[in-house]
This record gives sequence, structure tokens and C-alpha cells, in this order.
Amino acid sequence: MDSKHKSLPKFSAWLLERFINREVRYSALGDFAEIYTEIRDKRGLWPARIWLGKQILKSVPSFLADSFYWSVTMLQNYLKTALRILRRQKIYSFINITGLSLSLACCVLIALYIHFELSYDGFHDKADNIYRIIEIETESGKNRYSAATPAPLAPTLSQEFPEIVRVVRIFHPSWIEKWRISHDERSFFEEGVFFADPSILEVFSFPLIQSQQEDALQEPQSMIITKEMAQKYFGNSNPVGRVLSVHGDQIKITGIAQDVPHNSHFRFKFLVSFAALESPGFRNVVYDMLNNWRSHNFYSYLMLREGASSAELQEKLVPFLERHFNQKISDFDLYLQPLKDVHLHSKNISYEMTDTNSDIAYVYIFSAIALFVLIIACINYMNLATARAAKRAKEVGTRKIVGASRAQLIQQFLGESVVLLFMAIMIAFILVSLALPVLNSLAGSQFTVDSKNLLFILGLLLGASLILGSAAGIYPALFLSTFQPVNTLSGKIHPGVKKVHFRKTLVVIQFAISISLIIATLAGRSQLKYCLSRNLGFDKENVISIPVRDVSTILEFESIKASLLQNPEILKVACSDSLPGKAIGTRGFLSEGNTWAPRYSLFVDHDFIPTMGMDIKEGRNFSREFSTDVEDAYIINEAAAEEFGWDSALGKRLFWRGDRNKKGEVIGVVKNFHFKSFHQKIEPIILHMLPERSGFSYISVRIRTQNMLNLLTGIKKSWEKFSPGVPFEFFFMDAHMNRLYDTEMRLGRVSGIFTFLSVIIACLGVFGLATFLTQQRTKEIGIRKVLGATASSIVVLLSKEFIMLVVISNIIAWPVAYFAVQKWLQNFAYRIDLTIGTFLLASFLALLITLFSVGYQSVRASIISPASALRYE
Amino acid sequence: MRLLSRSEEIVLLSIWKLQGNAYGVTIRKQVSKITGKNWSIGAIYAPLHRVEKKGLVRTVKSDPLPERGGRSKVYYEITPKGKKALLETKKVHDSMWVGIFSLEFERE
Repeated sequence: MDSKHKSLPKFSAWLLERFINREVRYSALGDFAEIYTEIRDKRGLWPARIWLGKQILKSVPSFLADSFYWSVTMLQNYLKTALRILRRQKIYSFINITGLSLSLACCVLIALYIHFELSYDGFHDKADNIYRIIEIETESGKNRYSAATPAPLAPTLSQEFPEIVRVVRIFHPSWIEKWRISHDERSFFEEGVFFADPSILEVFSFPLIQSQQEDALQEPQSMIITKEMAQKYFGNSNPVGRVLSVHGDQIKITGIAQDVPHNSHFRFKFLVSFAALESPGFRNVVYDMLNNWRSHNFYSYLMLREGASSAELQEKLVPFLERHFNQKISDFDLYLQPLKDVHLHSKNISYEMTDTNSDIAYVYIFSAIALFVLIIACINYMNLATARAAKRAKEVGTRKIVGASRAQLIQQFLGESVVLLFMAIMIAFILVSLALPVLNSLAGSQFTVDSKNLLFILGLLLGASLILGSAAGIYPALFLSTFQPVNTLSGKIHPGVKKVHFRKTLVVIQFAISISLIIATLAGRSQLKYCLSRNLGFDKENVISIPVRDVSTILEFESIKASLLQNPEILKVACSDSLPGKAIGTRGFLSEGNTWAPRYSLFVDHDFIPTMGMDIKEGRNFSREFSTDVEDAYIINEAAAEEFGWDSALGKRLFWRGDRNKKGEVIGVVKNFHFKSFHQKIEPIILHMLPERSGFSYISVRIRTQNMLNLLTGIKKSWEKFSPGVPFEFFFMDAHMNRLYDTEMRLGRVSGIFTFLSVIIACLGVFGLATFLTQQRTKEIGIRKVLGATASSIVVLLSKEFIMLVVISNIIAWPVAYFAVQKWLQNFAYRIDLTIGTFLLASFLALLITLFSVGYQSVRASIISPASALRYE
Repeated sequence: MRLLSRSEEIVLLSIWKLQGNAYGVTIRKQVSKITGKNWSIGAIYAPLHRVEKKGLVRTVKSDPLPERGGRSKVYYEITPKGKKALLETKKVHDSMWVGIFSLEFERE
């Protein structure tokens, strides 16, 4: 019919064809042509054309309405089919929706965590121009990074380099955890006391509720407190202009700040002006640090001019350093760390201001887990969808025969995925809201679902499901829509069967991921157990430590000690300036045969070593019989003896130059003990005594008791007798040492849960697949039974395949997990050896779970009577 | 069964009146004549398609014709079901109009 459009102008015909609904197109086009021809013959070409144009315009609305009606009808049809399939195949729908919603919920939770981690310090308006100064010291080829800098450094830098717009110095000494804050008669020990230059308000964005930003910290004896603290100390009355005593000094409150967000690497509650440190009240805190280039105790932040390059500035620092630091420049350098890197990229930096820093590795670990969980859920979906293809093949064939195009079929199957995903999203949202409090308590985070992040969560859900939908939905849609009606309807080919290898590969991937996660979790657990239970070189059990934050109390030490020792349940009492697991300072020492170097050092008394249960390897402990011990005796650990190159350490000379000079000799060597976490190697440490008590800040008590509560009440009474009005605090040494692994414990708990979920999801998938495959082989099983196969041989037959897959997964999972876990273990100086046991256990678990998922179906199939099996179909 | 819509009724009646000569063009002319309005082709086909789906009319194709650009005429024919539907609609109409005279009277 080449004369098809002869009578109608081509363009109009084309246009009409677009507009007119398929089902009436044929007749309608004919009508148009007929009338057009009639008018043209009677009245000429142009009137006919004008008529046609008018008609086209007139027809558009009704045709459009009509075609819309039909597409909605088809959509209804798809929706109806989708819901029907969901309802009819309950196991399949359950597996898919559970898997998808669990994985979506996991992803959202992890995304919330990652988003939070990445958002650290981003809320400062000028965050991109702010840098923290990090000192790099090179010692025998090894770089040591430190965040602590001398006080004069920042102001001097700002004088010499015009690209530095502002500098801020912050003082937050690690050796004073809490400061005494008093108001009227009440006093508290508070964390979060920071001293800072007034410029902190210009550089960082800590919005004030009241008063002018500029003058809030200008007065030397002034401070800003947060809303929370204002409420605590002053209730609802206005605190501005009132006075609080900080460390015994009267400080005027000149501003109220909003509570510092959780995603800030330091969170002050009291922000005291830096100048306050110069007042006599703080002399016993800062000594001569404020003008000393050799005292690294302050944190320096720079704000650069917009557009200035930190790298260029760093280049120019070399001559500066040579002038101001009395050190060989090849051994010393400064690094400007971008503010936003502080939280996640400070792993190697010591002497941190706060302990809130995390590690980018955790962000990667959790991203990987989220990705894995998603992949596993995707694989479930793809596997089940293609496995069921045989069942749907007839439907596809029929649809194609009655005129469905491939595009329409793809639309339909994608539509089904969308319906499933939509349900999964709703369930996932509920799961997320339910799981957040649990996650918070496990991970120590503060996530909530509120109006602020509701949109973010929904966006995440939609985003994740979009990825899921396109990954998991498109493949089955494309695959199912290719079926040829001739093949599927004649029953010649079961299209799903051909895809067996593809499905097996996916199952192997799933299991490899699950097994790796199980191995990692198990290995993590045993490393953690190792950290918590290994001998530390001292006995952390049955020791109570009491922090003393008040000089007047420590001066009463002898009286407190005498009073405590009256209690038969208290065995020993000692005091020290710090404790294992707390920040231990370094002091400059000259050791025989070596050069000056900073060494860890601990001030202790005569009873410290026995109280802590440390062992003397050589020599003796400090003794009251030698009165000179206080002035000239040192005890070192084994690591120190080794580091100093002393075969026999006893009698070797040590010289400390600091606030005082102290020449002395080594009287004993103590066995190595862990005064830091297992992340760090035991380093040299020097124990010595102080003549005056004021340098001590912990009282440690070794106890033996059945009734802890009574004992604690007794200790508190002794405390209150000699230290009236000072709050009593204490901690148990073992709990305190275990807290060093808080991050790992949290990581372990959280990743344990996600591992468990991923295994569950993978199991669901295998269960579904096994159900389907067993169904498919019903007839085969029937025939086998007729021919004499036993029930057990059929169980073996059906499970064998999956067991093979698990074995292959193990081969993939073991090396991957081995390298990943080894990498993680590198974080620990003291670590477990990965044993084959962990791997075997993980594989055994995986096998057990598989047998469990597959077994139910195989057993059911094996005990079915052959007659009913053969009648199937 | 559901009552016919007004446009469906008009289309069906036109087909009935055309007595075997009912296809797009003639139906459109007939409808325009009855209603005194010029109906577009699209406006005719929407109800026409609906009554066909409902099984009230069936179609018969002629041979292809050159004046239709090489297409067949599609003739419409009322099925018994269609007839029943029309009668029912008429019954409803009649009963609706029972006792109402004044409307017509006032108009004249």
C-alpha cells in the first residue's frame, strides 16, 4: 500500500499518527483522508488544508484524554499482576521484601554514620581556610607527629606572614581532665574547659546567644559558657555579667554560646579567655609555658587569607623554624593540617587536644559493609527473579502473543521491582526508626530521626533503592522480556534452567562476602578479647583509683592514706602523677651513653609499684630506708634498659632537666607493663619520686573485698573527712584500661550486627533458591524414589550442590579476609596470630547455616510420597 | 448494566439511523446534524471506541479505498447487547420525562 498517505499531506499524517490512539488510528486516519479529499475536490487545496489543520487541533484534547486513560489502565494491570504475584508467592515475596528492607535499613544507618563522620568541623563558615599546626619530628628516619605546639608559635607566625589573617591558640591540657568550677557554695569538676584567644570567635563559627561577638572574650578574666552550663549553674536567670570561680580564679561570664554540635572535634562547655592564664591563680598550671618555645602544650589554629595556599606558606616556614626553634631543621618541620581533616586523618598524630578523633579507615570499613549488604540483597533479588523465570515464561509468551512489546514487558517487570522496593522502603524506614536508639547505644552516637534529617533519610532510602532497583530490577526485566513465545509456550525450553551457572556464581559471591565478614568479626573478637584479658605487666583487677584535682586535698595525702589503711579490706595505698591508660607526660632526660631525649616519665611514691602489682626484674623498689631515693633514684622499665643500650642497668646515671634538675642513678628495673593501649609498643618509661606532694594527682588503692559497696562508702567517708566540699570521684582500674578499646568494642558490636544481618539476608536467598530448585526437581525426585533411592540419598543429592558452592566461596573468602584482617591487625603493636581455627570456624558456621537453609527443603522433598511427586504439574 | 453516557447514546443512535452505512465520516455527519454542533473526528472516536470495547457495536471492514488513502472503511453495526442498552436508556429517559409538560410548553 504505497498510496497509503497519498491524499493526506505527509506532515499532517505523521502528526496525526502520533496523536491518535493506536486502536482507532486506522479508521480515524481513513476518515481524515476521506473528508480531506472531498473538500479538496470540491473547494480546492487550501480550504482542505485549513480544515485539516483545524481538525488536528480540535482532535488533540480528546485523543490525549483517551490515550491517558489507556496508559493508566495498563498501569493498573501491571500493578494488579505485581500484587497478585506477591500474594501468590509468599515465600518469594517475604524473602525479597525482608532482604531488601534489611539491607536498605543497614545502608541508611551506615550512611547516617558516614555522613556524620564526614561532616566534622564542616559547620564553620571559614572551615576551608582554617588549618591546625602539626609538628613533625624526625628521629632516626621515623616521623613523629604532634598536635601540641609552643604558645609563642602562632602569634609569631601571624606577625611574619601576611597571608595569615588570624591565629587562635587553645589551651586544654591533657593532664587536667576536669576543672573545679564553683558558684556560691556549690562546686563541680567539669570537663570541657578550654582557654582560647578571643579570635576564636572570628575564626570558628560558635554562635553566641547574647552579647556582641567581638568583645565576648576581650577582657582578661572573662569567659563564654554554653547554654547547657548556663542552665546548670544559673537556671533561668541571665548569667551574663555574673562570676564563676574556675580553678579558684574569679572569671566573669560575658557571653552564652549555643551548645557545640557533636560533629566538632572539640566541644567546649566553658571557653575562658587565654589572657586568664597569666593571672597568678593559674601559675601552678602553666608555669612558664606561655613564653617558652620549648614547652609544647598549646594547640594552634591559623586562618589563611581567602585563596592563600597552605603549601606555599609551608615552604616559607623553613627559615622561620631555624630562627625560632633551637633544633636542627632537618629533624623538625611544621605541617598545616586542614581543619576538616582533623577528625578522620589524624591517626598518627599524638598529643591530641581531645580524644574524639576517629579514623577514615572506619568510614571505609562501614562503607564496604553497606556495599556488601546491598550486593547480597541485590543477588537475592536477581537470583530469585531469574530462577522463577520458568514459571513466568508462559506469562511472557502469552503477553507477547497478544501484542505486548518488549518495552512494555520491561516496563512491567521494572514495575514489579518498583512495587517490591516501595514496600521495602516503607519497612526499612520503620526499621531505621526502631534501630536508631539501639545503634546509638551500641555505637555511642547521637542520631535521631527528626524533622531536620527526615528528608535526608528519605532521600537516602530513595537513593539506595534507586541503585538497588536498577541493579537488581533491570537484569531480570531484560532477561525475562527476551523469551520467545514459540519456545516458552510449546514448553520446549525452561529458560530459567539455562541460567544455572550465572546463579551459582552469584551465590558464591554472596557466600564469599558473608564468610569474609564472619571471619573478620571472629578475628576482631579474638583480638579484642586478647586486648582485654592479656597480662598487662601489672594487676589491673581490684584497684580503685581516685583522681585528685585539688592541691589542698593531695597535701592531706598522708592523713587520707592512714585513714584508708585502717580498713582491713584496703591492702595498699599509693599516689602518682598519672596512671597507665591516662595521658603520661614526657620529660627531657639525659641517660648515660645517650643524648638528650624526651622520655615518658611517671612520678610515683614508695608504694606505687606494689600497689599496681608490677614486678621488679632487677634491683629494688624505692625504699623508705634510703632517704636519698626521693632525690636521686630512678626505676626504669625493660624497654628503657634496652633503648639506652644498658646490659646491666643498675647504677647507670640518669639526668632530668626540667622544672628542677635531678641527677641520679638507676636502682631497679621494672618488668615491662602496658601504660598505653595495645596499639602502641611498650616504650621506655622512667619512674621517679617527687619530694613534694603537689605534683601528684591520683590516689590508687589495692583492695580485697566481698562487699564493694561498703568499701566504697568507707573510702568516701575518709575522703570527705580530709577534703570537705570537694566532690568524690573514683574509677576501677580494670574498667579504665578496658576503655582504651572503646572504639574497637563499638566497631565490633556494630559490625557484628551488620555481619549477622548480611548472613541472614544471604540465608534467605539460599533458602528461596533451594525451595525453588527443589520444586523444579519434584518429578526427578519422584522417579528416583520409585527406582529405589532412599530419603537420605536424596537429601545428600539436593544439598550437595549448595555445599559445593560454600566450599568454593571459602576458597575465595579466605585469602580476602586474611589480608583485610591482617591490615586491621597492623593497628595493634600487640596482636593475635591469625590461626586456621578462625577460618575453619567461619566456614563451619557458613556450612551449618547453608545446611539449615537447604535442609528443610531437601528433607521435605525426600519424604514426599513418589506418587504425589509424579502427579505434580 | 451501566447506563450509556450521552455521547455514547448519540453515537449509537446515529449508527442505528444510518442503517448499515455507519462509518467514521457518516457517523460524524449524522451526529453533527442531530446535535447541531460540529464534532471533531477525535470527539467521535472516543465514545465510538468505548462502545466498541463494551461490545455494544461490532465492526466490519470494507475493501481498501483510494479516497481513504488506501484504507478500508470500518463500518459499525449495533449488536443485540447494544440494542438492549439503547432500549434501557430510552426507558429511563421516558420515565424521567413522565409528568413533565411545562418545560416543553414554556419553550414554545
